[in-house]
Amino acid sequence: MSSFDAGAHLGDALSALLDDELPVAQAAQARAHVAECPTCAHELAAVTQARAWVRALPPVEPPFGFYARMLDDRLPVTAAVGPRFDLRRRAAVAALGAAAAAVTVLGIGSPAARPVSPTVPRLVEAHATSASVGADLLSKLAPMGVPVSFGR
Amino acid sequence: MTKRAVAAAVLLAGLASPLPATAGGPEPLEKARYAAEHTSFEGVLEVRWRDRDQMRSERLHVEAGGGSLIVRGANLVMARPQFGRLLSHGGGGWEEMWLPSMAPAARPDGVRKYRTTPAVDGPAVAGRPTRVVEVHRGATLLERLYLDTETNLLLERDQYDPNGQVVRQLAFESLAIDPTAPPPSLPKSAAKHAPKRVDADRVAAPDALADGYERIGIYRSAEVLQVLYSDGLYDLSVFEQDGRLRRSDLPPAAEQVAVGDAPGWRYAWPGGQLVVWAAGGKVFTAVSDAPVDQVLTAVRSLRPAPSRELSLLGKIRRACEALMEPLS
Repeated sequence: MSSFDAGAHLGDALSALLDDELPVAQAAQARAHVAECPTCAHELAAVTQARAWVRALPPVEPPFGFYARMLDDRLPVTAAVGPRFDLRRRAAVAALGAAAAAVTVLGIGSPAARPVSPTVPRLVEAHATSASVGADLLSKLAPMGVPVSFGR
Repeated sequence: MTKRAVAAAVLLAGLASPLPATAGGPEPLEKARYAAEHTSFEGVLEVRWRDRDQMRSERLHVEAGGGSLIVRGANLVMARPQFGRLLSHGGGGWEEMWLPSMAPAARPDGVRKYRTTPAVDGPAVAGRPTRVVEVHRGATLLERLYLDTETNLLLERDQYDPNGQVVRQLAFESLAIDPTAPPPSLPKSAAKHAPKRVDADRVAAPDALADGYERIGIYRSAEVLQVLYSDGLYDLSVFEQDGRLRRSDLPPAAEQVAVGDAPGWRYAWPGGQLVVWAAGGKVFTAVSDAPVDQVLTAVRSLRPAPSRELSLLGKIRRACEALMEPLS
């Protein structure tokens, strides 16, 4: 895989980055790009959130005997009902799958924004350091000597 | 003289110009800045600030020499020559918070917004004679600056509310000027935590906010975008994060304020004010040393762009990734 194009967004490489599938050098390039590109940073956060949601879904237990019927060569699932019923069943499963995919697309494609808890002390420190440049150090920088707290 | 120094000198000359006695006179904050960077001294500085209905205070030990300055409180803060900034929480390891290469643009002159009074003899601060300058906006006193007569160090800075009450104060309790003192020792290493500069054409950050705040820098650290504004006297950072505000994680000691149609929460910190609010799918945190009315006026003029909708292809791709991920 070649280096990422300057000015282009990462697209599918974001998934590879999340899965640690990128070579070290390209992963570093991708992270550097994300650090400076709001679009890709937003996309990365959204994909990460979607993965977290899916991972958080409860496991679904199959019906009793499902694995046995699936694996038992002597009693194939469709053997006792004939090819006509098998065709209907396959169509129903396909329809259900399509419906599930559609619901998933609608549900995940418009997720609620991820929750943000601003790290207020860190932001105050970032402000004070940047504002102290080219200004009176005692006024702008000295207050950072006091840890930021709000009497929680 | 650097471009920044020239701009600051112009600012303070401009601030002084409405009053005849200050024309060509002292440039108090620029001289104070220069003095803090070029004087070897050691002292105890008291920081006082109003937090809701009570005044809080902390004492800090300050030491400067050789162009470096270190503040020792519960946190250690260091300014190195050429603008580098370092921070240590509670005696832990040093973090590099700002790189010398990231100086913001020149601050605006602020001449239309503030005026300063002529410097007059003031009371002694930390046993040293002072010259006092007042900063006004219209008829309202905003600040009193007490400058060391001999060195121009800022010995005391008082900020007032519209009722004339002190809301924030920095004042030396003791101070020793010692030109022979060695400079503070520099840390041998520091973790890299400085943000990166962002080009203005890559983000939708207004050039200016209400009340004369002009943009002087844009920076990014991980997913947090910082836009730094200044009106020449005060600085204001607006931090932007994508998402919705988790109000329950904010400290409870807040005053609720309105930022446009959105509720916001205001806090006092030792150096000024901060306001947190959410709008347009983003969470904003404004931090400033300006009076609270100015901070609110400025942030209320911020019009965040509506949150970005994903394309259909993007939605499908994201859904497929979410579906396939548990199987991988």
